[in-house]
Amino acid sequence: MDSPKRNETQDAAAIAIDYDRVDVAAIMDQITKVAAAAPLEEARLSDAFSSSPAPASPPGASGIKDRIRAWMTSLIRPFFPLIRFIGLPLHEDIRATQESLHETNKRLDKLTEMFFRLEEKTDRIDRDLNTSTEYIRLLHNLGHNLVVELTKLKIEADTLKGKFRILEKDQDHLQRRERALEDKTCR
Amino acid sequence: MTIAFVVQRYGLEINGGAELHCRWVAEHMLRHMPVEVLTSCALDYITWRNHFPEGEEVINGVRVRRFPVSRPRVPEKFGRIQNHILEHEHREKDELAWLEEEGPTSPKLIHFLRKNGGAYDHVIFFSYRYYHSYWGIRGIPEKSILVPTAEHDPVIHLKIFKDLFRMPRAFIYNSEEEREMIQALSQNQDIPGLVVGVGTEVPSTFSAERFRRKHGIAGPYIIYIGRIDENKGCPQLFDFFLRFKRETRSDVTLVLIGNSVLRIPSHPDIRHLGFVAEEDKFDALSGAELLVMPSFYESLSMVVLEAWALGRPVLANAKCDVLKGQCRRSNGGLYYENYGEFREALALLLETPRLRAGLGENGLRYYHTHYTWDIVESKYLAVLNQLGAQRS
Repeated sequence: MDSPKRNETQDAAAIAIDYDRVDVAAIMDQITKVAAAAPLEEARLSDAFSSSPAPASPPGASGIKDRIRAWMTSLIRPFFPLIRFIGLPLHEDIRATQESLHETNKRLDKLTEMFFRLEEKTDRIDRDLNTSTEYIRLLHNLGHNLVVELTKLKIEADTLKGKFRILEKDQDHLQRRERALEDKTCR
Repeated sequence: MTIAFVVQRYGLEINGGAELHCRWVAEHMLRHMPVEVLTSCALDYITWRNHFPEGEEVINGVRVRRFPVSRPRVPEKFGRIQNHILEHEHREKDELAWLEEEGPTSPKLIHFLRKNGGAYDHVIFFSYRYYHSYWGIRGIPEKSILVPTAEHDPVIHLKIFKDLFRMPRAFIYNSEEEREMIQALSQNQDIPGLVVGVGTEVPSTFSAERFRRKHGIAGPYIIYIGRIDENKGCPQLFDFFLRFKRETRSDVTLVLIGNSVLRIPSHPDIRHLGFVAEEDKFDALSGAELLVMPSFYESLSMVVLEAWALGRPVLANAKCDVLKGQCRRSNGGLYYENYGEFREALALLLETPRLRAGLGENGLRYYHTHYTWDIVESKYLAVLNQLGAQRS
């Protein structure tokens, strides 16, 4: 089972290379020839990327397929004009659908534009709202601070009133004392 | 002399394609002159949603000005419009609607260029197919240099691009094939165009052994590095590789490095390592028998240049003209158009160490001749000086 690996050596040997002056174009010419001559072992796996030809069908199967295809073709040949006749409105329909889709797409594009404009507006309103919220919060803090300050002032005013009443009483007492002393002095 | 680079996205987070190409060139040109980058705020190339903040920042010494994307791309709508213009008769305004939808739509960037373009001596646009290049070049054609990074993509045949390719003062191409394609499309042979590409830097130390130990890989392996995507030809590679294994019973392993956007066949000899650090990548590349590059569309494969910089041979998809042309010019790799050629070429390479060594040496020589940073920088300077001399 070592045979696959050996293809490489054979190919390498089949390609003449001047190692002192490596010439890519010359090597590629030889590689292209070798690749074209070598059968693709896994042609059935060839994919859309490969430029290799599609694998041929087995001769027997191909014969049956051809006969069936020929029979089917002869069977529907009389209806070809009719099929074309049916195909025309279908084609018109497809065109109309395409036009309609194009129009819908254009409307969608306009809607998308509007959506973006709305999004921008929403962003702007959002920003304004954020600013207002911040402002309200500041006002609230200010109100709170004012209440605290006013309360402190009221307490201070009450204290001062108390002090004032005491001073008034002291003054009355002193005045009474003064009058008593004057009476005594005059006598 | 001050130059500006204009590119669809820019940042350290972006690790491939024209954006990385632009960043590397900008960072290297900074050694010779003041450089600025004008770009969008996008990070995601599917929707171009704003990610980075608008304004200026400095990335690896390069001043980057970011402009917001006015509206993100809707992939479904973009797909529909693209199918329509590729498959139906259409007018120029349909193509412009397609361009608008493709994005990254950043009118502020174009406005800035029109208003401040005079501050730059040259403006180098990367990637022909995006909004910034189309409108930017139209805004200041007398200062524009285009690095098209074009592939054999059906949209290159749109009429708007034929006109665009006749506008810049000069082109910097990635490959001979790209130049031929664009000149054939637009007949712009009278506009100067130099094939430059991009340089690559190889780390001073790399170790295949370290990579094998870290990831538990024994025996010979071939490597694919890049996004694992249908557009990159990965499904075909998996199919060909598995058929090759079945037919030849080779003990070779296929190592895949990069993020995957498709299902990878479950097979013991297909090892997907995901996205890896640069050090790991070079370790892996240095130990590989060869780099396989199955992509159908490439304007310049940076990873192929990195393989050659490490003296590793390449097996590329011949359906990509650029890869095939580079393999032939460098004599640094073989290529295949179908499974038969893939099988013969891979078998020949795996069996013939002398051939691998010879191809690797040729690739290394090709890299030293065309793709070291000194050479790439000198070519850019030559283009800029030539244009400066013409103007004066």
